[in-house]
Amino acid sequence: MTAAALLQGLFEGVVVAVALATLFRVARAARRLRRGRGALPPGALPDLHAAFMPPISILLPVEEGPDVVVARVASLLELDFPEYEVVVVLDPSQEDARAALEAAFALRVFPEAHWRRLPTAAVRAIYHGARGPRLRVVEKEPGDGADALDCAVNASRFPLLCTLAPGTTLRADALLRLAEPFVEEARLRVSCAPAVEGQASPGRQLLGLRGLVAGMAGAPLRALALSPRGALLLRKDAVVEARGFPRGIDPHANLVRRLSSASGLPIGGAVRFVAEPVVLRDAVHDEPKRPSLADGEAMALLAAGAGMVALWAGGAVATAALLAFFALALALDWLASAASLALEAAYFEGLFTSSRLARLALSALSVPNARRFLPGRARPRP
Amino acid sequence: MRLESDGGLHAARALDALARQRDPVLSLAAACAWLRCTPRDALDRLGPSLLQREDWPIARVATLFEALGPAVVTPAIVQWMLSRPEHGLVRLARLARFAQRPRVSTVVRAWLTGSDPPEVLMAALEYIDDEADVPWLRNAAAHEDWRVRMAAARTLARVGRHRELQALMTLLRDPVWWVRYHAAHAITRLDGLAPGELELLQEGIRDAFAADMLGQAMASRRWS
Repeated sequence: MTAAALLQGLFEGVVVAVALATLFRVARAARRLRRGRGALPPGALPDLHAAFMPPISILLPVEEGPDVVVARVASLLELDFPEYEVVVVLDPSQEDARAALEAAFALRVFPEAHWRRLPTAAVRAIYHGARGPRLRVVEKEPGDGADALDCAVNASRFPLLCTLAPGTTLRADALLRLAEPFVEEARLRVSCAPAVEGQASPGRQLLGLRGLVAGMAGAPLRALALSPRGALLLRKDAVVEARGFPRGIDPHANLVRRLSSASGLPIGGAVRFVAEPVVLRDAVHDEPKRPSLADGEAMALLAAGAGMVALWAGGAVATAALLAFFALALALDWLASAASLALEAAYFEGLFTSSRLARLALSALSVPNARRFLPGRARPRP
Repeated sequence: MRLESDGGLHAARALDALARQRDPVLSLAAACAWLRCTPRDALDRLGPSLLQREDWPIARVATLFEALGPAVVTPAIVQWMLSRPEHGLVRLARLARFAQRPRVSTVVRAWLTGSDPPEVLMAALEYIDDEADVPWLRNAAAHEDWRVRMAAARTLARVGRHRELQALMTLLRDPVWWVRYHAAHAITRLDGLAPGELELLQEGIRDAFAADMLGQAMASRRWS
């Protein structure tokens, strides 16, 4: 057997292995769903008692304009959860946001004994909202995003911390769904819910779907890498022990990885994925989500495809073999996507529609022009 | 759910068998169905599981106990308390709130004399509503676990008089923020404080953390 034939076999093996991995996750998720709480009739288990729910501090560094911040804070103050607070952090350059919040919630400077557990830029003042008793606003010296989050951790009062991606809003029961895993598993460090994007393109939806399947199959870190960022609920003592949010790109994802590895639990044991549409996101505010280096399977597929093209260009494989390879890759990818969709349909029965299935299936087939034939396609990004 | 409406012996046996399975969701669902169906029998049989199975979230058991009502759960809770289970005492202490308070408070308060886990002592402190029990509070205020000291400060806020000021001033200098927080709030709520006494106290405190915390509590009091 020649080296070219060996390489061709290897590349085909990669394609098959990736598809099998997805199908394995689908099967595992289905098994977990069949045994999970969702398989029981409604009311079979009592709700969680409000007095036993751990209180939550929502951390909200200001990243948007004054009107958006006020609307966001107002919506966060209306959530359905027994005990929580919203800690807004801003710096002097966001004077307009502070003024808008002051007008909307009647902020007043409060002589608070600030607990500085993590080193951050100095705090100038802490305001309490007379019209929103759950609201506290921290004005601090300028710093980066991680510094603002650490400052919010210092100001927070409660044992669980919730962080949100920009542009997201929470469903009224979102905190309840995110906190539930902490009540059920005492060793948990993080629970996370992906953002549901109303106007996402089919390709992006497909990526989110794979993230959902990974999350349901008990692979929350992979789910986080694939899904649009939504909300995280973190144990404060673990965050403080990890010395706060890491500096650099994407402090949230880095912190989750750090907490997971520091927990000493098996991979995924410290992180729980909440497979429910509790975080909503306006896609216009979002950056495109593409397969990244963190997604090893996508990288392996790309490498296998590139390898086959290189063999073909070098004359080592015939055109028919190249086409057969891509046909196999697309067919397996489609099969894996269809299985994922079937699982999603079983889980979110009410959300399942044939047009959605068709759109996602065609996207999975990577037919570039298919989208223009489909109703309700995503509008172009500005 | 069909079994639940039967309520017969056969159904009870089936639910008992299901409730003993290892699967946490199925076993808890079976236990709940049985408790809704024949609560007194089910409480008798399921007592050890309700107290010891950590995979049955206490927040769900609590909702069920609340729904069953104090008249139903009190006899079982009192019986469990008197038997003082080696395992599950912490859960029992937390579930005691769903029983009739007069019937459990004497037993729970007696736990303060022992060397129980901090969670048990914290639960016991919740049942102190009489000045006669304040000496137990002083012991709790010096406990090595900060959660017990915090619970002691909260209880002093409820039952403390002016003569407990010294104990609260000690707690106000505690190294843990939450203990200082509750001690400061307890001080601002003490019965028998003279007008202007709080301001004098704050001026006299040398510990900056304690003074800041008392200032915060005084501001909270003015705002509320």
